Amino acid sequence: MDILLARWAEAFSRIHPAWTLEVDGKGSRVAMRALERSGADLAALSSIPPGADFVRSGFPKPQGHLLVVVGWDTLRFRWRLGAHPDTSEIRPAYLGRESKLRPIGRNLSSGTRDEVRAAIGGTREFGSGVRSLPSPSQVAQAVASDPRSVGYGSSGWSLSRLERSNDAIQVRPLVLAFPAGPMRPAVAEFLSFVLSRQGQKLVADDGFRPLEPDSTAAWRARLGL
Amino acid sequence: MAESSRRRVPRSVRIADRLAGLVLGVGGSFAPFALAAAMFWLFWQADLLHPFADWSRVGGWLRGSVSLGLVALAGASPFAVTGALLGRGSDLVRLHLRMVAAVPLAVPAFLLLHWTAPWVSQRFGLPVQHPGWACIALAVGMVPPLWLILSDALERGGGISAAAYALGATPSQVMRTLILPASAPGLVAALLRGFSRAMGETMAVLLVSGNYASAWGGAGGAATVGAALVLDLPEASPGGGLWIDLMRGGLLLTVMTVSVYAVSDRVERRFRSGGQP
Repeated sequence: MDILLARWAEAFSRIHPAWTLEVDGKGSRVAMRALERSGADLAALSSIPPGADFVRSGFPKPQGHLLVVVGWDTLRFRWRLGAHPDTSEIRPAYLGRESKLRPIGRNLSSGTRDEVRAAIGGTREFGSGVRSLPSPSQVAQAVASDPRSVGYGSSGWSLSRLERSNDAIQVRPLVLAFPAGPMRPAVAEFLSFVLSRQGQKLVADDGFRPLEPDSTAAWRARLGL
Repeated sequence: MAESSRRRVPRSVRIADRLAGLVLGVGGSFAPFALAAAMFWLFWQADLLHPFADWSRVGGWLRGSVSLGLVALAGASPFAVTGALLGRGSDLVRLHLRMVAAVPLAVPAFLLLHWTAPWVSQRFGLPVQHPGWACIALAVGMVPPLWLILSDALERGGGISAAAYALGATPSQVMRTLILPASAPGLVAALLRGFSRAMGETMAVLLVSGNYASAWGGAGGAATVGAALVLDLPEASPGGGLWIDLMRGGLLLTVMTVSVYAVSDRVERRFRSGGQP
């Protein structure tokens, strides 16, 4: 989601040259921590923070934060273009069973790792032989450079040397989280841009699924934008 | 004579010498307190009574660290022992080894990663980053310091062996019956120190191992304790399950390396004092 955020920031800066956005990509958990402790204006998450009952309430405020869904992501397995791995071997490879594949995943602090772990069999941890790397881009690079490697990643992965699996591991919302309290004008303007047609086009251009038009209208009405 | 040699040393050099001695003295006295404080902090953060931490994960990291250290030691020992036995007494060899021993282990790891591993990968299809490369890098980096310590240990039998040669003993007899028994504690101390260093090594391991949770390390999500700490500590929430696991791993690794080092130190002291405790 880092690239999407950077594209939003770039397009927003062209519309409002006086306002600048600094983007730092470290993962959803770090983003939430930055929001709570270091005074960031907003955090971009590719999953709902633990404890948030988003589906039931439709508009949760876990720990006082405001969460807004701005798109949808589909998590899939990825491999090098033309590698044609036996897809039935992918899940066993992540569970540490004998396989010709070299499975690659994110490091332990990644929320996506937990989601994949739960999806492949609900084990407490990946099996032995799984390589752990600290960022999605490193996983993508490692997968692209080795024909026997498989990885997983969001729809936003756009390396031309990668192919994706047909079956999805998980569909998850792209979320922007804001601190509790009144929203600063610049932040409200940015959120308005993200929910605009132009902002949603960037979501689609980056490989994610944008919100339906009636959803963006509903969010705008709720947020008073 | 003493007065004239003292006059030749410039005053600035003497002052710098005294200052360096003072700094080293203060630093040396502070080190045990710093270690104790670090251990206490790790123990506190490790929260050993916390019910949700994952001991199997910590066990996987520790198995990775210990097995990597053992394999690296097994790889380095034959070369270091043979080198020390054959190259004893050569000042040129010692000088060369001292220079090489000062090079961090990350340097052989880097060279392996950029020269050897890609070549092997192209010809034999092995991954460029693999735990096997970490073992080789650690073993290569451990040979010079081990060789030096072993040479010192073997020097102990030098005088006796000269007497044995004078009485007509063969080189193999001297080696088997005099040098090796006399220097055995020194050899053990050297090997323990090498193991302790390899077990705690982080940078070299991260460079070339690729952070595979390997079969010998088990399914802990990281190759070693050091790798887990470097990759996950910055992103772990203080007080959370992963944080506690990392603190437990760090605590146990510190305890293990300090213990192994203390044992090697004790063995070496006994060796130097001629077997007296």
